Amino acid sequence: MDIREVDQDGVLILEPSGNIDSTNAKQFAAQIIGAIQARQCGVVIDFQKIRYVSSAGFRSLLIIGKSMEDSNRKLILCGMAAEVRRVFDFARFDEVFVICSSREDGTAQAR
Amino acid sequence: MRRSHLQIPATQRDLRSVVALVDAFCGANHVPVTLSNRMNLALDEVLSNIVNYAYSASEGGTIDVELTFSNNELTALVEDRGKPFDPLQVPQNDNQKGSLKDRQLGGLGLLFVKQLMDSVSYARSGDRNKLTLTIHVPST
Repeated sequence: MDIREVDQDGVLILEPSGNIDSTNAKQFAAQIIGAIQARQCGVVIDFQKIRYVSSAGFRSLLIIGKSMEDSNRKLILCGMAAEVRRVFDFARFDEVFVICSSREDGTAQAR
Repeated sequence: MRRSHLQIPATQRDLRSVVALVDAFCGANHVPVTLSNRMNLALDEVLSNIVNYAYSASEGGTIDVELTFSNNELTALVEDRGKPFDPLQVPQNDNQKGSLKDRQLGGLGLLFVKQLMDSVSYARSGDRNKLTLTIHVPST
């Protein structure tokens, strides 16, 4: 899966693109966890290039979140199109993660 | 192109060809991308359930997907010859709330299907499960 990595103001920003579904969700989780474990800073996952996320992707996000639980590092989600955000609301994932609209807000919160 | 059909082996990697079919079919019929994404998301839930649960691992099986577009309705008919399974009879799991430590994996797929589709219907016909997903497409 294509995931761009950017270091911005001491925060790791991960920008996946395409769909996150049952065909690539495990790979998504493995790549994100690999990138997170290679650093020690806060993390933002920017969804601006994501078309949709199915339940397999939500499962991966829980696995990613649980992998960081004991680390004291922040994981912030941002950049979702309205249609993507709607599905996060169905899943009540605003109770699981901080979800910001812009990358700037996300970066500030992850620091 | 008002109708399009695809038969795939019931395996995870073959689901990618359904995404390509939905994108091409919706593009040709001028269905907005937000709605084709919605259909793709719902189909991923339904098809991955079939891949994981419908057939025994040793025998495997196939899945038929037929897309139609008429009277402002985008419809996907999904058929398999696996175990009888009506997803509409699955009780909604109500522990999908709370913070990270309270969350269990799974249980969201059918919730998404019901929320995203304008209608969902199931029939068992002979040895086949037939699930019909419909999205209303507003006139432009």
